[in-house]
Amino acid sequence: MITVDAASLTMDSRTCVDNMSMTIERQGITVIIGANGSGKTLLLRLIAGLLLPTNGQLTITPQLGYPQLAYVPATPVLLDRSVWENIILPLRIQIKNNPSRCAERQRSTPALGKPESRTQAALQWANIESIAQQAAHSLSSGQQQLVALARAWALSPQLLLIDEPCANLDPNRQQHIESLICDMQSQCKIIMSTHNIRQAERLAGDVIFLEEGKLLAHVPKKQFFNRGSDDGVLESLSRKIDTFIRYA
Amino acid sequence: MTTLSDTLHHTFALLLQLDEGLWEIILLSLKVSGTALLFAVVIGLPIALGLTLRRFPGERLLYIIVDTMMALPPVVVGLVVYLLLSRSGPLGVWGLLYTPTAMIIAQTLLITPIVIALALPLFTHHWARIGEQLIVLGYRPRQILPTLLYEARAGVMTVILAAFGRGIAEIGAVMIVGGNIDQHTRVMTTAIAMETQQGNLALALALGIVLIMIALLINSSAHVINASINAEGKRHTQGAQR
Repeated sequence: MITVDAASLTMDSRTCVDNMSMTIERQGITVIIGANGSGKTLLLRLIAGLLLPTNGQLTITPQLGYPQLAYVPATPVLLDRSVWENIILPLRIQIKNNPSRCAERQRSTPALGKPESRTQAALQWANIESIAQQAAHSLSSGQQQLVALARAWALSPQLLLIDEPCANLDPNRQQHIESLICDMQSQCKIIMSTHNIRQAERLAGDVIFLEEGKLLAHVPKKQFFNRGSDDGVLESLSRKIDTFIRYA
Repeated sequence: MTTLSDTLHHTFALLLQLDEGLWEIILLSLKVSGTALLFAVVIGLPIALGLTLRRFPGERLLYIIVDTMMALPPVVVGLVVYLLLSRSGPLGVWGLLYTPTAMIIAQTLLITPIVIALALPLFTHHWARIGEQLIVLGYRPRQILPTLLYEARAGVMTVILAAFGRGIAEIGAVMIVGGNIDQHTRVMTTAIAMETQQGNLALALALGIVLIMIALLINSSAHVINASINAEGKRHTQGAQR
């Protein structure tokens, strides 16, 4: 469970995350939506532990270390190496740093325990075996996003944070990435941000709606997209949500 | 009076004959500058990596000091090393003055700041790009360092070659601490200065040509290395397009 308790973040004297409180369950896909500058990426980075709240608290129970907590930024960050090496090297590092966890995984699924077989499985999972030996920097942005997701999948995280996974991608690539995200939700909790309201509708279990660093709503998808007249709590927000949905 | 054509004729004769004295000077130059480079890289690159990863008070002041040291006049470095190694100096008991070791120490002091100052922005750039992701992927500091070094490999090669170029072309420091002793501490730059003063222009010119050839070789190597790293990327890109 992720608990955000009155968390605020001030950067350069500007309040970017303003007194946010919420509880995120550790199952399914949570989608953060909001306009540019609403604080989606900052919230993800706070959850990832890459930023610390200026005020308030953010706790993950039970506590997770890297790479059990994985973060895929909007622009994938890949090493200046082949796709294969981009996936296998962090696995080797993980074995060095957490031998007991890796040994346990090897006992439960022997075929996927070794870095080589796990890398091969990750390439198959993302359907990118054909580019395994290519330099990661020579790939298109869509292919790079797939490599970043395959690398995260290979590390078997318990919490995966994805920042705008389909920004500037064509519909086919979007569909492919969405299917991978859907597939991963059975293995780990996913929190992702998106501009794409239809994508949020397709993937979300619950929706976090932000505006100018403030949390306006955190509700199940159904309640967000199909608001009835009896949803008193959200009524005051209905206009804002409707406007966002219409123009997103 | 010796004409220019006579001098050139004599110069190429010396080069083609592989004159023993000439080669001795060239090899000592390469040995001194090569060893100094090795020390400068072993000391300078970890310092640059450390400065990249650690934030501390007075950081800006340290950068200014490193940048200033990069512009240190070689004669000043030579003078400092001379004072340290002279009989009355704190390290005088070692008896290193007027030895190749003293020249290596002086050149190391001279080129280490160059390695640090040139490598620092390089590592900072790569750290800003991949640092956060390496942490999230579970890398620990000791694992981050070699990864960062590999990511910056093309730039690091240029830094190393630039530092070597600075070392081998330097004259002030090695003249002061080496003394330009024949068959002992005479290197190309000190020999050129001395032979020119003595009117032995053919040998001075021959050494000058070798020095220029080495500089050419260093710059060509930097270009070839960078081009091969870029070509690798392009080959992959072409493969992807096909």
